[in-house]
Amino acid sequence: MSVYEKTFTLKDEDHTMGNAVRYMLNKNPQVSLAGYSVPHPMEKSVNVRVQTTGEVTATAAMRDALLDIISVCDHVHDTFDTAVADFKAKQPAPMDADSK
Amino acid sequence: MEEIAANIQTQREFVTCGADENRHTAEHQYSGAYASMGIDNSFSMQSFRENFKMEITHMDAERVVFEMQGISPAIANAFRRILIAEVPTMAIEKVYMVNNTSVIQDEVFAHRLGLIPIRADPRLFEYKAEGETYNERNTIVFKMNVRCYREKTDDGSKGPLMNSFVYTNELVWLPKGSELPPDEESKFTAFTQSQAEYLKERNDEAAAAAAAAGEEVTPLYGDNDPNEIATVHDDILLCKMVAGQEIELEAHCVKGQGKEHAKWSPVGTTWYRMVPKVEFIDKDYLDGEDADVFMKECNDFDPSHNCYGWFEKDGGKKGEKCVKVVNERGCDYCLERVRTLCGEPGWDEKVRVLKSKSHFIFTVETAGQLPPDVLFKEAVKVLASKCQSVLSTL
Repeated sequence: MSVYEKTFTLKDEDHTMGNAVRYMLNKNPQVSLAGYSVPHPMEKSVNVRVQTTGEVTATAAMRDALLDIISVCDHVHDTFDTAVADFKAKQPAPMDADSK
Repeated sequence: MEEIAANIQTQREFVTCGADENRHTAEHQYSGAYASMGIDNSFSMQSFRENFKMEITHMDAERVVFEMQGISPAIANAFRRILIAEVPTMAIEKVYMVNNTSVIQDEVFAHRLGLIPIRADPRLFEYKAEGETYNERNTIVFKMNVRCYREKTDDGSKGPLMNSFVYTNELVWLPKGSELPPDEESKFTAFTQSQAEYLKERNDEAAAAAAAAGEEVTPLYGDNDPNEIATVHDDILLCKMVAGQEIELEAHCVKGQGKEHAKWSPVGTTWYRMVPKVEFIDKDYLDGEDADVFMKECNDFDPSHNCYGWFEKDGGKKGEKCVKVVNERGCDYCLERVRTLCGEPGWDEKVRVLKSKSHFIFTVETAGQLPPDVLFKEAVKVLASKCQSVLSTL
């Protein structure tokens, strides 16, 4: 047991967070192992295992992964907004748009 | 060596749909998975920003279809799961039956009512905490009082049967809260102001904030007043009655999530599919006998189908033809034919069907509580806020 290897239990979460977090952790070169499991299908929690190469603590790796997901979400949100605006701009204007 | 590299690159980017199985379905997430090939498999926000693309291909009041490129299935699937199970809506949770003489049982009818989509912006409401009173910020009240009877006629003959079909338009919103006699005080609502006023305040606040930020706001519910609450559809059949039967009840809606009960799920369903790609291996065309067989099996089943076509062969003899892929994505009709053909002897080396692991066609079909594009943005926000809440506990 050291600061470089930890199992985090996320309460009230499921595969949605487990898989997303595992993905981001695995993508970090400073993480040597990351995995998750749902201890029991009726229990609302996931265990996320993080082992690092020793350059950063497991908690720091976890924090980085979560921050990365947040950045991804922000970027997806903004890109989606732009895509919607682009789509609307391409649509022919409705006939009675100005009548109200 | 180069060929191996190309194969591994294909395996990394695509699932290969063989005749009897899909191959290379896994996405290798480990940052060093392709280190020996000199490919950095780690995540960087910069490269994500460069590669991520979105394009909306269809959007109406009920459905948005868009393409999302340069994102992992792990994140795309999180959005999908959140849309189904964790974007909140308002739904009928408690039904107080005053009278029900129809043939449909109280509990069955209450369940039916629960599944009706309510046109109310869930973002303006709060979750009701355990023990908290039902107020205008966490509860929406509807009443229904309908009796089936036969219309009287002057000459004593049988008149038309009224209210024999009960539709959702019988549900009347009560902006001032419950009208039931307060004999059991804890049970019913305690509104401090009209819900219509509350909604107006919240909507005006939101409009002012959007105006301050210089954002353009499209009305959420089209021509419907956002300060009024009703069911999304007014013509869902709830039950049938005969003369003399009646139903009187009050229905209370609260905010909830699809993971607790599907009635709170804001989508009919939502899904994504991986973008397919039909490819001739080694060269980008087929010629000779192969071309004839391919066209017979995969293209000529319908005269109007033209995902593949005949072309003049470059560098061939004069008049020599070859077959090329015209529509790389194929279509519902030919993809399965190509996949089946791959299973014939020798064909797996000539043609293949691939599916991209990072390019998705995403569809969101709303149940009506919120427009589909708003739902997707809500799902993205939910994922970010979940991460934020984990961060705050680290």
